[in-house]
Parts: sequence; C-alpha cells; structure tokens
Amino acid sequence: MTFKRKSWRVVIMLLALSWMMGGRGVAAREVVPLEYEVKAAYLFNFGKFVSWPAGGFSASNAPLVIGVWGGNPFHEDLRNMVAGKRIAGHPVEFRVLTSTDEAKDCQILFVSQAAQKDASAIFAALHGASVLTVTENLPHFAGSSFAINLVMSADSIRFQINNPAAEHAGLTISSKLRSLSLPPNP
Amino acid sequence: MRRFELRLSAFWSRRGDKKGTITVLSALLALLLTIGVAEADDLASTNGPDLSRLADMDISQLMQVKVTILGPSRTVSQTPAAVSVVTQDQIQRSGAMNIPEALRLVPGMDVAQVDASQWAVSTRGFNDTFADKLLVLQDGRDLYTPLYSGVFWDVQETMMEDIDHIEVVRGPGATLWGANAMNGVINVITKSAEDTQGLLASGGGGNQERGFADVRYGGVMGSNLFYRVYGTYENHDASVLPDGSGANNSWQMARGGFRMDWAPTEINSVMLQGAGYLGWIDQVFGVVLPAPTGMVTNIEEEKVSGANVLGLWTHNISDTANYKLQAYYDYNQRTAPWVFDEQLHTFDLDFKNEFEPLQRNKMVWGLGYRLTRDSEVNYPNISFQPNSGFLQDEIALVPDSLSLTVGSKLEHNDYTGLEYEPGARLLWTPTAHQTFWASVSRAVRTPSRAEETVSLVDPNGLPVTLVGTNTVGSEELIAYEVGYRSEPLPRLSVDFTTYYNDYSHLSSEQINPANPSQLFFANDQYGFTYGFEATATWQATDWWRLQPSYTLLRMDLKSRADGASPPDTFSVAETEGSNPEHQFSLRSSMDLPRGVAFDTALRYVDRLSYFQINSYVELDARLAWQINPNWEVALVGQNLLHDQHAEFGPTYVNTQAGQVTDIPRSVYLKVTCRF
Repeated sequence: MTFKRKSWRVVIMLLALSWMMGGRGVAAREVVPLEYEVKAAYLFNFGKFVSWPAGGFSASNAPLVIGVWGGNPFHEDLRNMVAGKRIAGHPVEFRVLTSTDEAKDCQILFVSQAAQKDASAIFAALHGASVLTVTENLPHFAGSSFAINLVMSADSIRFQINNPAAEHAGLTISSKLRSLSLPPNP
Repeated sequence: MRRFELRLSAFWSRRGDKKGTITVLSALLALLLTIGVAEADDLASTNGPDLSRLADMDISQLMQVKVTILGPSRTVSQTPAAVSVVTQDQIQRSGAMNIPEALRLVPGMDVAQVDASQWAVSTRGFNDTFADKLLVLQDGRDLYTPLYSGVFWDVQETMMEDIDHIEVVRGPGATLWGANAMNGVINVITKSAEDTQGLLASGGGGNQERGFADVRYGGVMGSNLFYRVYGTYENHDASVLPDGSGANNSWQMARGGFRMDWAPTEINSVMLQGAGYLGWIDQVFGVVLPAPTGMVTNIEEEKVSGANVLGLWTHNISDTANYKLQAYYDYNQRTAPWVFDEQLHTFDLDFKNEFEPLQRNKMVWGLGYRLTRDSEVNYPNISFQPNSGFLQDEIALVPDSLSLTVGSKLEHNDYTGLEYEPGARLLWTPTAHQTFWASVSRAVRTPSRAEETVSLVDPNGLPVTLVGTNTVGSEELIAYEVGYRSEPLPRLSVDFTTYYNDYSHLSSEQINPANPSQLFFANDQYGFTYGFEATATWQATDWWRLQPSYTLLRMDLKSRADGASPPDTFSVAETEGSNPEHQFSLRSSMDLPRGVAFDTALRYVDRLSYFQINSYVELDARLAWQINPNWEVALVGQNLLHDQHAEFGPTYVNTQAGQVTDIPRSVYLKVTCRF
C-alpha cells in the first residue's frame, strides 16, 4: 500500500483549490474557427443574390435549404445563424447531409475542402438540379462544376464565381455579387 | 462553469471479488466531486465577432473581416495542458519516414536516433532506448510493451500518408486511459477510410533509405462502408562506426493492413482495422554461448513479426451523449538467436459512456479490461522468471467542463498495491486570444515485467548480472505546471510552459552487498527536474511560415544509496547524463509558385555527458514539386551538416559491444501519385 502522507497533502490542496475557484470560468462551447463563422455568414448571404428557376422550390413558402456535405465545420453556428431568417419569403433551413441523394433537395450546398474528392458523386446525384454549389480553396476552380469558391485572400475570405457552372444549374447570379467576386483561377 | 475530472482505475489480478468495492468507491467519489460542482455559470464571452453581427453583415462587410489562418491552434489553446498537434501536412512536409522522426516536430520532445533501427524518445527527461515514462497509443491501441513499459519503435511504423494527426501531451495526468503516462502521452490518430479514397502509390530511395514503396487503395461499398487496404516495404542501410565503417545493423520491414469505417445508420458507426508486419533487423550482440565457447560478438538477424486487429463501435444517443465499445487483440514476436526470444499477446476491451448530467457539464465514465500473456525463451544473456499472465481492470469517471478539472485515478496492482493519482487543472481565458493554465498532479509508474523478473548479463563480458526483484516499487511524481498561450498578432501565436517535477523512489541499480557481481533494481533515486518549453508560429507571409522552439531541462537527482556500502555512484550519472539541457529548433515552410514547397528544419541539441556525445547542430530539408494534382516529386535531405554524428548511446542491451554508433547524412528521392 502506498498511501503516503504526501498524497493526502495534494488531495487537501486540490479540495482547497476547487473551493477557491467557485463560480469563475469560461463557457464550454464547440469552438468554431472564425474562418468558418465568416463562411457561414457568406453562405447565408449568397441566397439573397441568386435567383432560382421556377422549379427550384416546391412551393412559394417551401424552405430554402442550406446543406453541408462532408463533415460540418460550422457546428451549430450556421443553424443558429439562419434560425428564424427568411430569404425572399422562404424560411431558411440548415441541414447536414448524410447521403449524396439528399443533395438535390438543397438550394445551397457547401462541400468542404476535405470532401472535394466526392465532387463527382455529388454532381452525378445533382444531375443538373438547380443547386448553388459552394466549395473552398479549390485550386482549379474555373474548370470545375462548382458555382462559387471561397478563398483566402490576404487576411480575409473572398469568393470566386464560375458563371458557366451556375448557368448550367439554371441559376442567375446577380451582377452585384459578381462585381464583388475575385476572378476565377483557371 | 467548472470542469471536474475524476478517473478511478482498478488494476486487477485474480481476486475479482474486490472489484465491487472499487466500483462503489469510485461512484461515491464521483458523487462527492459532482456535488462540489455547483451550478454552471452563464455562457461567458465567446470567441471572435458576435455571430448575430456576422449574420447581419452584407457581403462587402464580410470581405473585410480579418481571419487568422494559423491552423488548429484555436482548439488547442482551450486545453489546460501542454498539448501539441502535428498535422498530416506537417508530417509530409518534414520528410519524416517514421513516427519518431515526426515527433521531432514537437517542441519539448527529446528524440534521438540510437542506431539504424532504434530511437530514444522522451519528454522532460529520463530519455533512454528503454524510456519508460511515456504512454504511446495508436487509434486507442497501446504501443508500449509491458516488458519494459517502453516502445519498440522499429515495429511501430504505419503508412505516413494515412496518419491524420499526432497529439502530444507533455506532463502527467492529462490522459483518461492507460497506465504509466508519467511524463507524457503520444496519440497517433489515423485517417478515416472515408478520407483515404482512391489509389496512392509512392516509392523512392537514397543512400541510407535503400528503397521504400507504399501502396494504398481506398474504396466504398454501397454508400456508407468505406475501406482501405495498404502495404509498405522499407529497406534501411546501417548506421556507421566512428571510423566511418558500417555498423552491421541494416534492416527491412514489410507491413500490410486495412481499415473499414461503416455508418449503417445515422447514430451508429463501426470501425474495424488490422495490420501485420514482418521485419529483419541486423544487430551486433555480445552473446554468451554454451561453454567452452563463452562470450563472442556476433551479428545476429533479429526477426520481428506481429499482428493486431481493433474494432470500435460508437452509438450516438444525441450530440452530447454516446457509448463507445472498443476491443483489440495484439500479438508481437521478437526473436534473436541466443539473445532474446519473446512472444506477447494482449487482449483489451474498453467501454466508455459520455453524457451531460447537468447542462454544460460533461461526464465520461468507462470500464476497461486487459489481459496480457507473454512467453520468453531464456538464454544465458537475458532471461525472465515465468509470469502467469497479467490482468487489469479499470474504472473511470470524468465530469467535464472547460475551466477547472479536478480528478483522480485510483488503481490497484499486484506489484505495489493501491495507488492514488489525483490532479487538478485550471484554465483561464481572459480574452479570445489569450489562455493561462496551471496544474498540479501526482503520477506513479508501476514496475515493468523486466524490473521484476529480468536477469541480464553484461554483454561486454564483465562478470556483472542485472537482476529484477519483486521488492521494486513504483516511481512517484508530483508535477507543477504553468502555461500561457497567446495570439498577440493575427499572424503570430506563442506558447510557453514551465514545470517543476518532484520525483521520489525513482528506479536505480544497486550493487548487491552480498554478491558484488550482481546489480539489482531498487528505488533509490529522488530529486527534481524543472524546465521551460517555448514555441512560436509566425505566418510571415501567405507563403512563408516560421516556427522557432526552445526547450530547457534541468535535472537534479540524488541517490539514497550514494553513502551506502557499496555506494550507487552510477544511477544518477546515467539518468542525468542522458538528456540534453538545451534544445533549439527553427522550422521554415515555404509555398513557392508552381506547386513547389520548400521546408527546412534546423536543430541544436546539447551534449549528453553520460555517452560523451557532444552538442550538435543538424539540418533537414525537403524540396517538393506538385507537378499536377496526381503527381508529386520530393527530394529530402536529413542530417545534412555532417557526414556522421552521434545522437545517443546504447544502454542495458549493448549492441555493438557498448559502442556509440553514428547517424550518417541521408538523402532520398520520393515520387508519389494519387488517382
């Protein structure tokens, strides 16, 4: 048995310490890097500058769904951000996709960098559906099927637009949004 | 908001009836500490700009928000311990061929290559080829051998491209699971099969790396069962003697394995992985052959082989509650004719449950069971007393929140009885970019199989035998740590840790007064160590990152037997003289145009008086060109500044008859393709 007097001193010290610490502290929450808080805000904002074709929504009050494929870097932030918000009369809804089949039920779909390898499966499942596809840090963006690419520029996050891909999905991106975008890299 | 951590473990052998007592005791203790938690505070400050403010910003305002890009430091900075994470990107960019080389990236670690196939890896002192104060895990599987509580690094390789990250905790008490995490914990986490889809093949060679090849293929069955299979082969040249001639310790390893990740439903996921290896390692041993030949120096081919399989089932009840059930079986064999022959079987079962009993209070509890069985062939050099298998049960309870962690581990084992390991950690985050933490904890290291039962003849032919005894006790540590992390500028982060470790009953070697040719293990060393670990990461430009690190270690040990007759004059000299007092490193990572990456790492390591190894400065460099998304070519140089240099010396099992061997300069070319 190695219950030594020393160890009891430590216990007493710990108990004293825990008592002294009463009531102080910092909140426990899933820490979302600022980068993804900003990207979440971008995703929500893009919805205001895109027109979907007539068949893009099932009804005039159907939700505008923002989907995320391949891990959810936003944790609860994007869900909290869009809660109770409306875009052009559509209540905004956030979904974490578990199957590529659900991709066509979204109006905006974010595919994280780690999930870009799934791109071919996703676009096969979309089959030209009117979904605004958004990704991040994609090197050869202009040649891809994604409509928007979020990129790091100096210290801030900017975006590129691939207009042919958006048109292929039947989407119209407002000229205001296009004027704020960076040119797509080949 | 408080955080309480309570860990209670019971090590068990045979007398299963006492298990109930420990369970009740642990539940009672958990209850006591939970009552002390009181009600949680309100959500205090959150990091970064207010969420609702971001949501109300328009695009042109969003474009102005400054975002730092310093990788995973934000999550790490919330941890009240000296934690470092080595990412896959950093491992690749370092040109590391194995896990010990990847650990050179971690500030505060002491990694020394002993010879072609052996490494000495430790933190905060006590480094040795048989270093025994670190807990090393890969995907939840213990890598250390119960034989000496250390790691045979030569057999621990995996496909470096498939490592997701390596988490390193310096200091004790920061782990929930596993024993002997006295000076630190290393956790190697491999990627999910979902993240390793497609074909990856790489191969190359150089002057020291004679040839290597890795192949991996990842695929998917149905929509939710991902898998990968892989195979690797490596052929390493020998280290060299001081006169430049080869040290006859070249080696080869072949390895294959698989991993499957399956999510049959949204709330259930299953992971299954397995691996096997086969290796041939040349070593020069002093071997005692039967009379009349006696002692000879022989080159022996040591054959190593092993296999393991691990399954993990995760059941998510909600975002904050889950069950995890993990089981693994691990087999290792190591055979060197006339020197050493060991077979080791380990079976391990773990259950863990996480939930939130009160809002924002997390609780983790679990049960563990481990059975180890070994068999050794006894030779005149090294022999072991028989052991009827070792059984270990553990129980853990961890209420969890962010700012204060108070907990304990309670364990029982046959060698030393009841052990009590309390600890407290405190975290204070005054602003989003600053973290202070402090901790005090007690840790013990229980004796290993070798310390209890070994009989080792000095391989230099001296008439000295080192023997294990069943009176050897646990080593004890009370550790005090203070740390500070900050991001003073958007592109700069700094991390400082200082500690004072008070050790008692440290392992020593004592001369048997009745038989001066016999040394036995005792617990006569005591004393303190203190040190300072500092690192900074500076993203100088978008394409250039610099990371300087400095490590100070002072050891002041004494032996209770230095006045005894005969005195112990060597234990302290050996323990203290095997660790560098100062280490400094500077890493530079550059992303150049056209897919070219250039990385360099300069390191200074202080002298090791015990081995009479002088301080040295060495340089590693890697120049890589990503030709297109599918092909990459990399030229890597290791230890470029000297033709050869020594980093560590042999202990106990003296290879090359006690000689320090030198590590030569190494240059290799590697081609990687991905489809």
